[in-house]
Amino acid sequence: MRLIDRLHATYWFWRARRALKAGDPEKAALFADMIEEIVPGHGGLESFREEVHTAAIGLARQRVREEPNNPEWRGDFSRALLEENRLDEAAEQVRRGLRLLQNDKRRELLQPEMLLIAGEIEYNRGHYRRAIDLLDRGAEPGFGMAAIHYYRGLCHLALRDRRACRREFTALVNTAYWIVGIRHQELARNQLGQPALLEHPEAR
Amino acid sequence: MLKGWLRRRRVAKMRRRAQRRAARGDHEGAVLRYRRALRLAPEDPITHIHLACALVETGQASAARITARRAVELADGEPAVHLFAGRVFYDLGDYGAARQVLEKAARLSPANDLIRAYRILTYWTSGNPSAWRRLAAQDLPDSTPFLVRWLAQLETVVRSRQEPQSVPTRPAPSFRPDRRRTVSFRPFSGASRPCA
Repeated sequence: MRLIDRLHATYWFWRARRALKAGDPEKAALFADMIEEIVPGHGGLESFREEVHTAAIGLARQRVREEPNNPEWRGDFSRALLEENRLDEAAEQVRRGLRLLQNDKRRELLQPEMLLIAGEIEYNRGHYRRAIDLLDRGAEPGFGMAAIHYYRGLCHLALRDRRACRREFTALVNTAYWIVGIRHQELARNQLGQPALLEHPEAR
Repeated sequence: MLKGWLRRRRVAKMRRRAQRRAARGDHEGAVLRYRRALRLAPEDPITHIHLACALVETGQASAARITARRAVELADGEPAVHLFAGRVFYDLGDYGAARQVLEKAARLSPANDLIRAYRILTYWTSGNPSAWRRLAAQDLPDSTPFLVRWLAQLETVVRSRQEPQSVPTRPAPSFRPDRRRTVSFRPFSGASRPCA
């Protein structure tokens, strides 16, 4: 590793730790992403990400406790639970969030995101048709459509409808083609492992 | 001679119209137009292979298979027709036939990256689990139909393994519409797509 890279990584690590200490796990996660870009496979980053994740869940839970009628915090918490694979609890939170949104003035802004989370949860629970229905309801023109196409494509793939899957993935690749490269690298990381990934010229 | 030229021109025009239909997602309409073009030029391999692609999209598997085979027969030395036929057979799940025509395409055009990529994809899908390693992420060809099929196969493999997402790629929970993530993985670049 070059000295300049090491200095950069140290600086961003310091800022990430400060952000986490200040109670901003999102900012800390962003800084961690930057460190990953500078030094892929940086030692200590994995445990730091765990800390960030734990802090984010704690923060989401605390916010829900303090303001139970705020749908945004419900969305945050359900996303956190989804990341933890606690699907039933996540579904419950998102259900409450959607109910709160019915009378909320930010409904137009927040509902598509909430429906996207609901769709992801149902996909992970194996309820593919219900997930497609939720994702259809949450579809709106814009950058968020990439996620909708991705999860709808996965649902069709799970339902063995390859034609519908191709249709969704075509729309996805037309808007965000670089996703394929990212997934390819993740496959390499999963199958070859991080050290192998760094050494393997074809998988880099 | 003039009559032949005029007919070829008309067929090409009909084919373009059909392609536009297919690009809009109207595959039934495209099939209709390709069939009309074939009435004028029944021995045209390009129209045959385009028709086969459209038939796949409309779910007419056996018609697509017959049409793709006919296209290959008519265009014995044409790598592009073999490549498209390989794609048709791949979509129909006939990996043996796909491999066969793609091998032929590779012999006809050994330097063609897309043919190589489709061959790797076909080997990967048809039971060679490490075939994907022959294609690096940065060497993925810039072809939407190929990337779509590659992604579908990739997700099939990743999802069938049922492995938890590794920690470095797991994003922190967030619910900010102004900082909305695209999908559950980290998009590192929002750059627009380079021209093919």
